[in-house]
Amino acid sequence: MMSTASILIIDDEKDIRAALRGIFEDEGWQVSEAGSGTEGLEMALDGDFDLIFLDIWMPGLDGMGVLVSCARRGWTPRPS
Amino acid sequence: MDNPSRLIPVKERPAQERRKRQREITLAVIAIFVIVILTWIELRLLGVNSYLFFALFNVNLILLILVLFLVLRNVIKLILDRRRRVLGSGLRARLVLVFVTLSMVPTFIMFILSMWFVQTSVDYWFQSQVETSMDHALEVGQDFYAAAESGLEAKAQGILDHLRERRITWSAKGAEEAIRAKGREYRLTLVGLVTPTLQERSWQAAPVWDEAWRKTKAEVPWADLARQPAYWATLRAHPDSDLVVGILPVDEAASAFLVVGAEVGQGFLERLELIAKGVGEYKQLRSLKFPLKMTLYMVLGLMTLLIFLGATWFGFRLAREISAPVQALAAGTQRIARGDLSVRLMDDSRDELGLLVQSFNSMAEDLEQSRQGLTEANRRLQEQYQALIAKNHYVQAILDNITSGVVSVDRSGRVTTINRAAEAILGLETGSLVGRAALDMLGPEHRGLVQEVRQLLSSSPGSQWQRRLDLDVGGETVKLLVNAVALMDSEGGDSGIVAVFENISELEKMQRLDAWKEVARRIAHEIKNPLTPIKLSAERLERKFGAVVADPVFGQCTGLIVRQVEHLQEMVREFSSFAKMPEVTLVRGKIEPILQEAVSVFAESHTAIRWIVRFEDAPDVMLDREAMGRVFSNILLNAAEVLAGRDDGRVEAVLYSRKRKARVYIEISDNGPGIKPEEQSRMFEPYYSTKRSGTGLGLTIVKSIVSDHHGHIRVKPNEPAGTTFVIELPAARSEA
Repeated sequence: MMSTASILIIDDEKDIRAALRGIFEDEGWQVSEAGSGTEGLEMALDGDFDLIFLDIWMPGLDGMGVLVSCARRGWTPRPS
Repeated sequence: MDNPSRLIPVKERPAQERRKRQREITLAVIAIFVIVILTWIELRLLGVNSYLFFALFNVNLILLILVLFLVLRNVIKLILDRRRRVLGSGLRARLVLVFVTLSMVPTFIMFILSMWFVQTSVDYWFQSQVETSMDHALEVGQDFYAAAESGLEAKAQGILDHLRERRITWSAKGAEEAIRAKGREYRLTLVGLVTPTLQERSWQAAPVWDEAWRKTKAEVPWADLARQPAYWATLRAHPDSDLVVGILPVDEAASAFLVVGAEVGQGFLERLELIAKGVGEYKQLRSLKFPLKMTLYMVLGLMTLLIFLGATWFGFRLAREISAPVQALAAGTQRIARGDLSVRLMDDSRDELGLLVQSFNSMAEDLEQSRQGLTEANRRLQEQYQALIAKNHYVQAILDNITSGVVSVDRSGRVTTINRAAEAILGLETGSLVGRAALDMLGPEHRGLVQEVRQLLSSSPGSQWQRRLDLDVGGETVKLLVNAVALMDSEGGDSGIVAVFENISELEKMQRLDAWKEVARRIAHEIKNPLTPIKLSAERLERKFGAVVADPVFGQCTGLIVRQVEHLQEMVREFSSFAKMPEVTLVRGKIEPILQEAVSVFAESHTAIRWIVRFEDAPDVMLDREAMGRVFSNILLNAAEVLAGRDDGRVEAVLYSRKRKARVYIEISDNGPGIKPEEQSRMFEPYYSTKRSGTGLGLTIVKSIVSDHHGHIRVKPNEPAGTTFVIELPAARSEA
């Protein structure tokens, strides 16, 4: 298993992003942050993240909008 | 419009009268004809010589029959009229009775007197003295006649004796002289001899004898006298004097006949003949004494009856004539009494009854005119009334269809108008308030209001009084916004107050609810976000340092933080769901399955409580299944919570309908501790809660949903203990 997983947190609340970052970094994971849906979608499409934390209720492009855009770009549910 | 039955003739019409007269004339002609025929037949068959009497008798009989017929006809008619109670028949009957009585008395007196007179006179006529004196008269006449004849014989014998004494021969000259002398002596107007060859000799005759002797000579039975010589005498009527002739045969009629004649006075013979004839007739008449009497009686009786019946008939006629206008008047009066004012009487007579008829006609005309006027006035009134009614209905319709309550009171404070909305808002029976004093429906704290309004409005006319009022209606506080103005009549006088009010309790609650929704939305938004990092941070602290820090205070604090944050999050979720409560969508459906399902869920999870569901027959309602389920769940949850920890808990849900199935009621009762009266009104306000946990939003949501269903929810104490929630919903309208 990889020692460092990369995680993207998309949330408009800075405090939530900070709290989550702290928790994940405690575990030794690589954490990236996005403050809005638009920024988060851009980063998600550009980077290669193991896990994305996406807040649904956000001003501007919300979580669902982000998911819809990802699905349009060919993202499929990961087989479990 | 000429009604033929409008005119009542007082007398028979001229045409009728003419026909009647013609009929009477015909009847009279027939009667005369019958009289002639009857008289002729009687004469032929009976041959009695008193024709006149029979003619009279027949006339009387025919007339009697005729009058009897007329009277009988009238009597029968009158009796029939009386039976049928024809107008005027009573008067006629009385008049006829008077006439009959008046005519009967004198007629009968006359009849009896006549009877007596006939009796006595007839008896008198045929008395025996009359008969014997008539016989005597005749005898006297005959005696005189005999005496004259025998006297003449004596004289003739005397002449003959004289001649024989003197022995004078018949042929001698002295014979003639002697005869003449003797004739003069005996005052004979005729004396002479007739030879057997019927030659007069020694003839001495007065001129009266010229004609008389010739006739007598022809009558004398000369041959008989020649065969049987005897004295023969005869009487001879003569215009100047009656003559007696005597013939005495001389010498057995061998030599001559001595003829003597004398005058016996004028008309004697004629009178004697008349007496004889009278006696004969009298004798004949005496044999008819009884029939004569009887016929006289009969004629008398007939005459009496004729007079009597004639009077009766005349009485009928007169009575009819007198009673006709009275009858017409009575008939006219009756018709007027029945409402037929067009009736007029036809009469052109100028007497007092005619005046009465004219007065009647003018009265009927006046009545008719005034009735026409009345009818016209009534019609106009009716029209105005109809217009007024229509206007009134229009105003009433407006009043009844506006949602604001309208109440008007008069000067004395009595309610004159109240519309449907007002009755509904005030929870009153329809029409129960009109006429009552408005103060009666107000609580004691509002008693002064009417006076206050009155004062304000009278001090500044044209102003408006506005006030918010809280009224207690059937245990529920109703908030009203009241506007009142003074009513002015056309003269500017005070005619009361009209108050318009609206129930603003619902509006107020809605406004408060909206405010609370806004609050909830803000809280959800502002509080929810910081909570997550707080919780995450507390958990991170616990996770990172829980094993390192030996002091248990650390672990207790982080745990407390996490739990409290979780509680806060729960609250926020509730706020959020309240704020984002969706609009209900009403669909026709049944309450029963929703209530049953809600109760079933609780029955499974709360087995310590007895759950009872009862359904009465209830109509469909318009509902949102999900929202209504939430209503029941919230109320049932409330009940389950107050009964927690008890083993005699009991919750009963009942469904029923009232008001002829126009309203559906759901009652959910528990036997918990109940609620205090002051809590009742606040129970449905947001954030009011008697529980330590909970947001107090549950019943607010319930109330909101029930309102969206156009229903009401209220709470009342359950008997003997506990609380009852009553949800009232309108039934769905029957499908068209």
